[in-house]
Amino acid sequence: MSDNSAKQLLLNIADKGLLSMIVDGGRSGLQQQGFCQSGPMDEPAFHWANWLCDNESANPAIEFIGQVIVDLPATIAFAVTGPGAEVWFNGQLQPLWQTLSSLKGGTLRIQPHRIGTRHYLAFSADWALKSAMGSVSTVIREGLGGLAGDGKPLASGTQLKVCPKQCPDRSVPVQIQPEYALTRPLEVILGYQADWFSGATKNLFFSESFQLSSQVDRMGYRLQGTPVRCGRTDLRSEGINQGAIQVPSDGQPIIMMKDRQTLGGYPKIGCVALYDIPRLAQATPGDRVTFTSIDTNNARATWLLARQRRHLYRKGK
Amino acid sequence: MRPFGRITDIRSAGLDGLILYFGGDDLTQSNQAVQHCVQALQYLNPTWLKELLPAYDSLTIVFDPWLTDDHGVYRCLAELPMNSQTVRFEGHHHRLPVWYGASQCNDFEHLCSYTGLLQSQIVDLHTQARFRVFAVGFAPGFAYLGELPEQLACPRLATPRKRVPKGAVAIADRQTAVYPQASPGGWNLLGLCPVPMFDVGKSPASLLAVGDTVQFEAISEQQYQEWCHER
Repeated sequence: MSDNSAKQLLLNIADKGLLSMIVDGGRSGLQQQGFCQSGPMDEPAFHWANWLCDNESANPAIEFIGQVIVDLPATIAFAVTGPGAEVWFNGQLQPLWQTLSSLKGGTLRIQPHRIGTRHYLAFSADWALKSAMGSVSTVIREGLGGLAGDGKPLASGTQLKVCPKQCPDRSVPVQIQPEYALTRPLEVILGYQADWFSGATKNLFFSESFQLSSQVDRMGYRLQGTPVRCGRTDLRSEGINQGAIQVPSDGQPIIMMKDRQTLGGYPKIGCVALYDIPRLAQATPGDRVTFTSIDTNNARATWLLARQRRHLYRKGK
Repeated sequence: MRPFGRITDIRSAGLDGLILYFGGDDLTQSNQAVQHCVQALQYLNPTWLKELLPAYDSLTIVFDPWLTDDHGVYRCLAELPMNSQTVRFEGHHHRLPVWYGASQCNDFEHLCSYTGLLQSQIVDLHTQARFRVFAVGFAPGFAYLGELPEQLACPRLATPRKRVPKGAVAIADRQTAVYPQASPGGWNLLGLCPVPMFDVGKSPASLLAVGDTVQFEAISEQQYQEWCHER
């Protein structure tokens, strides 16, 4: 047996909560074969969870909904990120967005403030996972990724085998954390079949608020509101990018998320800007969202500045 | 951004995406233009290229916005070399065996009454046609094949089935397909194909690619079972 195996730890998922799954950076370059993008719904929270653990930025982590309980047999550095949760370790409250490296073995319980939000639990460790199509991201529908590579989410009682590493203590200050408030509208780049929607319909789309329905999952978030009618339906199936806003004939928009199907034939009014997708991903049924239009150049500048802030903070500037 | 050549329209698909629409005398020509553009881009393989999503008459390009913007992609497309070195003008041809009328995949009663054809006539029409792969998507390895002879065109089921078996050969409108995995589905079923449509151990994982051609051939139940046992 190698040195590594001697240092292996078995982490026990005592309670998986509502849904826990292993994600990494997702699959790339495979959408033309029909494989979905997959990966973390809230990319910045996932990214920072790994950074706090001194991991590669696409290292596997656990994305979960609901309260999870994990038994840690010995000291292992870990971090929890997301919009808001109570992190209890052996009955002591611990902070989010910080490396937690000095805790002895015990029981970790994470209770999100709002049901339906997604949090990330990363460990400073290497995982012994077999990738499927270049990724360990779990896609239930495709039967790909996860612990056994068969697309199953984590079950309660699952043992995770990891090799812990040394890790410096880090934190992500509030101004670097993603902003989750829905008070600001989501920014939308008009595109695809935007011309198929009348001026009045576009005005309606950008002035009304929409409520998240209960039909929200990793494929898409269905909204409810005053119907956004499109004059035409004669569209051949075509590629769907992340954040695309599909409008079926009932006029209730569906925003396409990480596990979306690659092709679809509903008209699309445009796309939610990449940097606003995590904010939407963390909204829960009943929440209200509004939209505002932004041109491509402005949207790209906003995205580039956010990326630059990330790089500068990582470099300690 | 002005369209040029076979490209008839260019639209935004988010801050990291563009969708191009292609024209031609018919759908096959438009799809050929899509296929050639995909191959030329794959040959060039620019650093910013993240995803290509070819479909019937469109190509969605997803790029890395850290490395370029939509104008950079457009300029690259305008200068894209299209020659025999960068483009494979013919796709691969596949012959796929089908056990027509397999018990769990048999909508012939409905199809015969809808089309007014005999089962044998439907099978003849389905095996005589040479289909083109117009798009791969919806699920891993799911290839949209067309165009189905007009006499076979029939609408999707009013209520989709909760489960269509893996390998089911199906038709809807002017299209036909083989279900790569058991899944819900609303197409009319003709039979079962024993050839796997994708294999995660292979590269590429999907058997069929846009531009490939497919011809089906009828096999018996016994031949079907032999096919399955050989694997």
